[in-house]
Amino acid sequence: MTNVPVPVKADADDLMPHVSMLADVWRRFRRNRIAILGLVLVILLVLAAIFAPLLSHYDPNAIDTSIMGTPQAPSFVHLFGTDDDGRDYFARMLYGARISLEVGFSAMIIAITFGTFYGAVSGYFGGLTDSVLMRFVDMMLSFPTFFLILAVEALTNNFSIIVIMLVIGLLSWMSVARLVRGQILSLRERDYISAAKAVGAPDGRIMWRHLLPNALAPVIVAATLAIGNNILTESALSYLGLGVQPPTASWGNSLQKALDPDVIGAPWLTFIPGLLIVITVMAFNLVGEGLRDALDPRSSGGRA
Amino acid sequence: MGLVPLLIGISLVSFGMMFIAPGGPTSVFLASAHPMSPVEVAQIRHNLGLDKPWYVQYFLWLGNMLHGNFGYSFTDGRPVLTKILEKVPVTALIIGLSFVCTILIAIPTAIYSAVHKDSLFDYIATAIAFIGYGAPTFWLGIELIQLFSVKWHLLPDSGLTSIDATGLDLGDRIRHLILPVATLTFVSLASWIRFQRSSMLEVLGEDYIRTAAAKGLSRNTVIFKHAFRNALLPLITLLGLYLPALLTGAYFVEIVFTIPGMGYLGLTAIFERDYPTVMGTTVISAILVVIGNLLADIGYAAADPRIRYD
Repeated sequence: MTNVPVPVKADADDLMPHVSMLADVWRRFRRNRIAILGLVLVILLVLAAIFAPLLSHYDPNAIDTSIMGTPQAPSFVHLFGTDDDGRDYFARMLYGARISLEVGFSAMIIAITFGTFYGAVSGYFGGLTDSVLMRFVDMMLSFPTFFLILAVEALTNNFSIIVIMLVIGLLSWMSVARLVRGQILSLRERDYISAAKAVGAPDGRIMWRHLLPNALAPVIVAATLAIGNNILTESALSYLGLGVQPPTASWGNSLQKALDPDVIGAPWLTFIPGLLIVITVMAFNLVGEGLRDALDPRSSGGRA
Repeated sequence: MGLVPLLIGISLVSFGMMFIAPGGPTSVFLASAHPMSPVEVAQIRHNLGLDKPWYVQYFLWLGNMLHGNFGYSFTDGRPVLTKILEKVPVTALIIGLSFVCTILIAIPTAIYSAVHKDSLFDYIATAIAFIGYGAPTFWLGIELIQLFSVKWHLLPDSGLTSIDATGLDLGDRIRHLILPVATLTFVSLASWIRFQRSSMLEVLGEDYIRTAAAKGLSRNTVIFKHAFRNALLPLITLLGLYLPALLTGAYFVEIVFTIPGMGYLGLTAIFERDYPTVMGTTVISAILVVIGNLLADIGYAAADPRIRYD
């Protein structure tokens, strides 16, 4: 092993060039055609959400009074038809994608950050700290999470998108905490950690520089899968009227009126948002599974 | 047993929910159509014991709960426990039926998929599992209603009995149950097929399977006697882990199909800010999950002689 002539950083993990590790993961990920399909779908969705105003010249909230009350079937004028308020459904779905992805990503970041920190502390310090912290996780996992999210959302009575992100994020970190704790528990007994302790590295440094980077792989997978779950949760909340509030378009709240007499003759109004949710959640799950295979050096890169 | 701290924690969280609401539990009275004077509000707070410090309230609530008194509903004044217990059979029926259907479909599918890995059947089963995993329960329910009730007029779209039904009409009850159970089954199938398939694949790669095949046992004996029985073990764990999701799924099904079960009760209570009922539903859901996990642990130990709990 040659010493890379970078004077400031001399940690063991810097000797392995990060680029080549990423390239290695990408090489394995790329061979998995189904995971690539997921990735393409995710990229398309993100692009559609970002460029929503360019993709549709309709305002998602503009009501066309001339066709109000009679939803128009999909046509070249209205790609996904119109809803019962005469609003262009394609535009609404595009802006709905923004909401879904925003909530999905933000709640994931909250849950992953908190869960990783919590799990790392629990696993690293062990003993009584670990018992107490993990008991709390057990307890939180005993609640049907969605019911808890629902109750908290309803009781706070605040349906701004920030609160929705926070509530979903702060009530879905538990499995990440468990995951990280398990990783840290097995890593902290390794020789290189004893070595770091022996040279007097402080706890925080051991955790940040030596433990967490090595525990990262399953967290990345969990993060990807969490985005899909969060999107499902947001759509369910919005469907029940306890999430994103109309007139703001969201895939979930578009389904609210699904069984109303006005809408029941227009099956595309329920079919399209539901299908978009399925495709999106599936896409993130496919990427997550692909990453799981690609990040695990023991698997040959095939699908289990 | 770690069960006691677990239950105390559950009760604390459920109790704590009451304090998240801006304005606290009495805000519901303040927001009502007939504005009350501060004196009246104070009187109500006193009657409900809300003027005591939170820890006193908590211990009173906990003590009552241990005696089976979950408080009284804000909306109709009936005991919360009675309200919940009369809904449990409905939820249990839906969960039980769909669980049986799930197992009956998922296990044969998963075994066939695993034994014929990478076949067309395997791909289709995996694809369906992925779709089911991403499909919101309520959306599936809505789509089934759209097709079977609205379009083809084959099955009822809501409730458990027809309005004109007299007494318990079994055929009528079954017709009402088909769509809700099918919805919950489809969303559950995904996890079970995937899990059972990978568990089976893992077992099929074991040395003892190769040994069994090598000593000339028939393919069926190897698959069903040696592999299948071992591949079933992890499912017991999944059952424990899956219970909260199953409960949530059942709640959604009840909401979409307007079936008067625990989920419907809980959701109505949330909308009506009926705190005692919300807290009661939360506690009882959590206790059901704890019991489920405990049974799964015991079942696992009973099924696998290698596992021993001290």
